[in-house]
Amino acid sequence: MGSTARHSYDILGDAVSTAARIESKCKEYGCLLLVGESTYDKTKDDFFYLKVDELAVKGKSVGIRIYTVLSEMDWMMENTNWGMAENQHIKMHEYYRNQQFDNAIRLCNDLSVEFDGRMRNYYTMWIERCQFMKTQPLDKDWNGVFIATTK
Amino acid sequence: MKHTLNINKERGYYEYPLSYFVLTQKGIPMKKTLISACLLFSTFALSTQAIARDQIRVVGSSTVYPFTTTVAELFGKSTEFKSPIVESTGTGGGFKIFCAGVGAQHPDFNNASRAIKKGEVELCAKKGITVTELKVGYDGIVFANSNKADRLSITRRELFLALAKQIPDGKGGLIDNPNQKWSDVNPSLSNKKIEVLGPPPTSGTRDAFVELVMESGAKTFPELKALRNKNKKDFKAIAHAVREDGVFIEAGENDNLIIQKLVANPNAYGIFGFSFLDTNLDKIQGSMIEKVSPTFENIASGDYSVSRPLFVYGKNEHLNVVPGMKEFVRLYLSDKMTSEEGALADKGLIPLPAREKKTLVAQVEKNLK
Repeated sequence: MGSTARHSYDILGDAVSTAARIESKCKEYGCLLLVGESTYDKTKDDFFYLKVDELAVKGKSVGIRIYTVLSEMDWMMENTNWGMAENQHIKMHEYYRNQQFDNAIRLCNDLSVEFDGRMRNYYTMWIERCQFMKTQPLDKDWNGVFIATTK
Repeated sequence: MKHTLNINKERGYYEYPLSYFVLTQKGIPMKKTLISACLLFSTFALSTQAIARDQIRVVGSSTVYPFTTTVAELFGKSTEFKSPIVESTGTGGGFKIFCAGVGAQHPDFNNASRAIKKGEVELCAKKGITVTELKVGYDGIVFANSNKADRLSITRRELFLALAKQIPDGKGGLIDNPNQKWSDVNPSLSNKKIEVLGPPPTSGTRDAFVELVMESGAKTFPELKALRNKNKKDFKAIAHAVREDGVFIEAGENDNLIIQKLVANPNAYGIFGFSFLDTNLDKIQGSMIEKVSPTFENIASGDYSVSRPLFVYGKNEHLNVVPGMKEFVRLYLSDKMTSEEGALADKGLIPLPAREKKTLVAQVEKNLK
């Protein structure tokens, strides 16, 4: 909070607290930058994003999709072969959501060398996540949302 | 999927991939200015006469061959140009011929089942050759046998154990591969002799196979994984060495001949591109690798682990000299040929994702002008 005497301001609100909570997850996911779905929806044609997780942040009941950004879209298209790896990443998340965790792990292992190794830490973390989920009792129609236990 | 930009770890930034330079250094517009007219004259004064050829020549990969041939046939039928001559020489063999020079006796395109290597770019550059890279689609490498025999389900680790020249001895060292039967590799497999017909070292399919299958298989051994982290070159020397004791037979660049041999010998397995499986499903079947079948859908989704992009490289220095080259490139990249509904998808070519295709077409058009 600030005043005429003291120029130090805070911003408040739902979007801000969500953003702060997403930001705090970067290290855990091994990603340099994470964005929420509203940022993703507005900029998905300009940047190359990969879905990272569907997360119910502590204190929130509804899950939100979070993404990491790897490059500008034009640059990616002209300089890389990431298109097929992106398909593989999407397939991996499909397996995860369908509770076929061993298949998801198999694709994570393949993917760790893709994207110039920039997602390696994420896939290492995600394999652990899959192994953890295998031990969890999940509904048949589980929606893929992970409920964070830490802030 | 392996040819991307390189990370320079020491300097901490991303270096542009080879293809970036290849694509940008070309396209010196040779038509309009006096200077370039002179350039054209001086460089090609002799060769323009020599390039009296009115028929496009293509060499290279046997995997890309059926696709380029399909485009060539339609090209001959639907335009005023002659059908291009397409030869199957293998990717590496093709680059040697392609990079040998500019002029009528040298081919205009090289089919490639892997990206051009740095050494090949340099070889081409020595002869004043720059290239336009057309990524035409994706392919899965299949391990297949006669459909009269049982269908195999195998892992990359087991393929490494069956085909590597040397394998870990379990005591930290390496031994010459002693495995003679599939059951030596994994007791749950059949007790038939291992017999594999595979591509020679000049083949792009061979390069992709050792990278995608043998390396991945080798990495499942902790000692080899540790070696890889320490010395990549030594690791590759082991992972890429295919046995030479008669179990793995180099079968040349004629994939149809391999299929005939598989039909004649139900105990043998062959290694080739998905299209040869797709067009011979009445005779042969693809093995499941890591429990995933080599189907169009599984390769396109990335679920089938052994897939790679396919390319055609065009010689920029011939673009304005050999009639029809630009039209041929445009036909190749047209939706009629290389989209999900295109003629090449029917032959087993997995099309580029739509966004990737759009960018490629824009890039190539820039080079054709």
